[in-house]
Amino acid sequence: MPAKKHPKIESRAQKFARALQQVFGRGFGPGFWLAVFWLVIVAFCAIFADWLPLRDPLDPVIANRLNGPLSGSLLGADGLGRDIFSRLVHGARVSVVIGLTAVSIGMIVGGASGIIAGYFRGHFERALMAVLDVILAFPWLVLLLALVAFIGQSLFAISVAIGFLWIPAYARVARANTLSVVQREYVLAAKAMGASTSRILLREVLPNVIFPLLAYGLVAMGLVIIVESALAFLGLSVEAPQPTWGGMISEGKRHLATAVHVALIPSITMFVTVLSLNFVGDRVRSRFDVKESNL
Amino acid sequence: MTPAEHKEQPLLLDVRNLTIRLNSAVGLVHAVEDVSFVLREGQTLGIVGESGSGKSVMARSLMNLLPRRSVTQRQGSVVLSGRKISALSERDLQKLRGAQVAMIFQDPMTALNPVLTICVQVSEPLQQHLGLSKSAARQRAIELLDAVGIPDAASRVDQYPHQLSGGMRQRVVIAIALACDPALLIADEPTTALDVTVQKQILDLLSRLQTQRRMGMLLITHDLGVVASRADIIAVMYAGRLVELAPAATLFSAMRHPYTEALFNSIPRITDPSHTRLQAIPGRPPQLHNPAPGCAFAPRCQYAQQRCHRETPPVVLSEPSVSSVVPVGHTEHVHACFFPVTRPVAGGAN
Amino acid sequence: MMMLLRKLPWLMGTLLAVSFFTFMLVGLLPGDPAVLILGAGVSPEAIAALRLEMGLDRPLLIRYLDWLGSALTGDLGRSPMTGELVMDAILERLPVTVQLGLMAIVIALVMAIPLAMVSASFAGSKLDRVISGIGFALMSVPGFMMAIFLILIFAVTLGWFPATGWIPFSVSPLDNLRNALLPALSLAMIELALYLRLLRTDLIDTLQQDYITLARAKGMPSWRILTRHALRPSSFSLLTVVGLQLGGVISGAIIVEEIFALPGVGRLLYQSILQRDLLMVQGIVLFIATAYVLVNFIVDLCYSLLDPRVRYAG
Repeated sequence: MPAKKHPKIESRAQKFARALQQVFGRGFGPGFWLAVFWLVIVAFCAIFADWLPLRDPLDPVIANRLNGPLSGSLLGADGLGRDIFSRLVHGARVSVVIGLTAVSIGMIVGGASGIIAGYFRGHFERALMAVLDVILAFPWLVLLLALVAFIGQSLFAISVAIGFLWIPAYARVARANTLSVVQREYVLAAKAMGASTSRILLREVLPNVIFPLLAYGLVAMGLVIIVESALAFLGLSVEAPQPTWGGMISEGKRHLATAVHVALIPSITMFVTVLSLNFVGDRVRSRFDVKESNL
Repeated sequence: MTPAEHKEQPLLLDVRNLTIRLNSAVGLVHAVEDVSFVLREGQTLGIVGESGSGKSVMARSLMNLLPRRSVTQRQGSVVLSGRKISALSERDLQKLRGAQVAMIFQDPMTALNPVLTICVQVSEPLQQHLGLSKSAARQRAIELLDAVGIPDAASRVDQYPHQLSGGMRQRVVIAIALACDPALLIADEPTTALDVTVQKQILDLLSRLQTQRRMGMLLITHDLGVVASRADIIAVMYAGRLVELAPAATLFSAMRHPYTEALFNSIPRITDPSHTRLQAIPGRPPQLHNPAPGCAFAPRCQYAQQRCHRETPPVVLSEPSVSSVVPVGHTEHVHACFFPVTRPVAGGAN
Repeated sequence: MMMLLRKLPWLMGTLLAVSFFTFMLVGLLPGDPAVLILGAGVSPEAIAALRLEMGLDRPLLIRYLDWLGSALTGDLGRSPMTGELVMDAILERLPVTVQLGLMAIVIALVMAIPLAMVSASFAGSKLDRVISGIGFALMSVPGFMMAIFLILIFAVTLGWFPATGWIPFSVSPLDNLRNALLPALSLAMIELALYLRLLRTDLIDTLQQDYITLARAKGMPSWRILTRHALRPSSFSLLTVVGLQLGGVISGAIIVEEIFALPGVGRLLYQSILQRDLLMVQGIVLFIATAYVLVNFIVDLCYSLLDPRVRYAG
């Protein structure tokens, strides 16, 4: 008899292939792909900012102060004469990095604890829910301000602080999903066949819980960008002189009456980015969430 | 009332060529096709069919209760006591609903609003249609609850639906329906969701109330047993079409349509010897969104011939002459089949 | 009543944990409070003396219990930076924040409920898609961006409302509302988007229920069905979301108060953090978190009392 491929592995590969097929299949519409396109651009800027032929984002050229768009540079200059377009592109890096890191932290830590809590129940679960209750008792900005004051304002620190905020949400979703998966028959069947706990967790529980988590990830990224920009607006995100979208908006507030583009341009950029993330995330989520797509 | 007396009663409901087609994800669904029947005052018309036969859709379409968005085509006419209600505006229909025509639904668990008291739900039509004051309506509501057999009505009236059992909830639904003394009661599977013992009670209650108030009743069900003793006339529906209609006794003793025969044969009888095989109807109910040409029952019919798969059989008189066209206002026996069953069925009605 | 007693231990436990967490986090912040007060160039002896006086040499746990004990009597200490009593500072600014928050929630509800009803009754139509689309877009706009946008249009360009400042209600109601409107609107927009989305989904679900069809069969007019038969069951989840969202409203208030220079608790918190006034920060965070937990607890209770499905389910 030829060596059989383990049926579980095969089905996961098949599942993945099916997922890819669903993603690139029909029905997502032009708006969807437009949003994806925009996100790709943002990601591109974030990665390649240093190598693009842009003006120095930190270089104040007083002569250019508050120049409007298309007078000299593409999008004009801010209050200190720095090139807005270049700052925008570099600012994308902060948003993308923090977005990805924070969501990953939330997903991994929150997801893992949620799955463990949902599977093993008992003391761990109760302890986790109690801890989550306490974390959620604080309004998010209050908690974040305290964390930031505590951990510092480096790129990593901000990511961790915001990621921390996401742990309760992911933990709850992971736990709820795990609870429902565990009751299903294929898990009972695996147990009856003598599968070890780690095997069940890895092979049965994880693949089924991870899809909703990932789908929520895109929307979560949008929220993280909003949170980070709120911090930046308050001057408590990554420190100057690193440009951030929120910081640019904050600086632009001063010039609302005279040079509105300084605040408006980063605002629009951020809005479109978050909107794209929300839109793409929502569509992907409703594709994969069987219940919703029947509405 | 004897069949002859029945024929003398004024016409209450006259449905002609009713056709309903609905939107759906898979295409246009032919839910109801060319259905015609009449109902006279005081009569009970039983409509029998399996799920998907279109009976519920038809019942709801009489008062235009289908979700607005899903109805694509609606043809035919519905005349209530001489008034063409199929042409009425929504506003005029609202005045009719609950007042002249009332409806009771299948599932008493979901038919009542869980966050409103019984009193509010029963009083509403009284206040809306009869203009009763709040206190007068409440009083009347208690009387109604009493009339439908709910013990201790005065205290029940202020409770919430989930505090009542299924049977009692259905009684409340009946009370709501009868509040304004309607001329026509449409009962859509009123007992399907209830225990067998409660079923009989509810059906008896409905019969009694109907006689008392001289209402016409449309009794819709998938259970032949329910209509056997309760309906004056029985209509059989399949795949959205009317396949046979006859006075109850005639239907059971001289059925014509193969589907009716198959339905009848599929009922297990207590007098059968043990281990008698159940006679299920082979095949599956047809899909309604791309109807094949010909008779809808043909794929499952043991008597089907070439013609059945090509042409849709029209509704014709069953006797004396099988092929004549049907006059309007009929309560005679009609069927829609090219090769009707002619022999009487052994055993008769249960 | 039984339910209240059963949940009370949870409430106490959570509040205790909240106070502990608050104290620990703030207490462990880098930076010696004594140094912050006296300045960097002072002699070590002076710093040590001040630390002794402030009780900073005692173990953390003792300091926590001491602080908690006082807090329970309403004494949150006196700020070494500004000299005011923390509790007084909070209470003085509380009305501003409360007014801001309430206005935001009320505006959001007043707009969300009718929009959701329209959206749900015409679900799938163009109107519905426009409304949902607007709601969706609003969710992508953070509070401070909305504030800037509103300031740009209504204060800078049109000049109808002031961009900063606050006048108490007791002094001049009209001016008070004028000053409060833009900040409240900034907060309200995100809440509006969230309430709208939730209520619309819930209403669509409710409208598909059998009891709605029965209400139609009774001949009830559409608006009555919407308001009395559909809105009521759906309002409970809305109530829950409003309660849960309070955290978001408070967070948004911090930013909005800063932008519009409103003398509220949020702004006080922000500035205390900037100035490293740790005692003040501790007190404010404790106050806000406690209030949030209590309000959610009360909302939870109300939910159980009002929703008949829960009340009689036992």
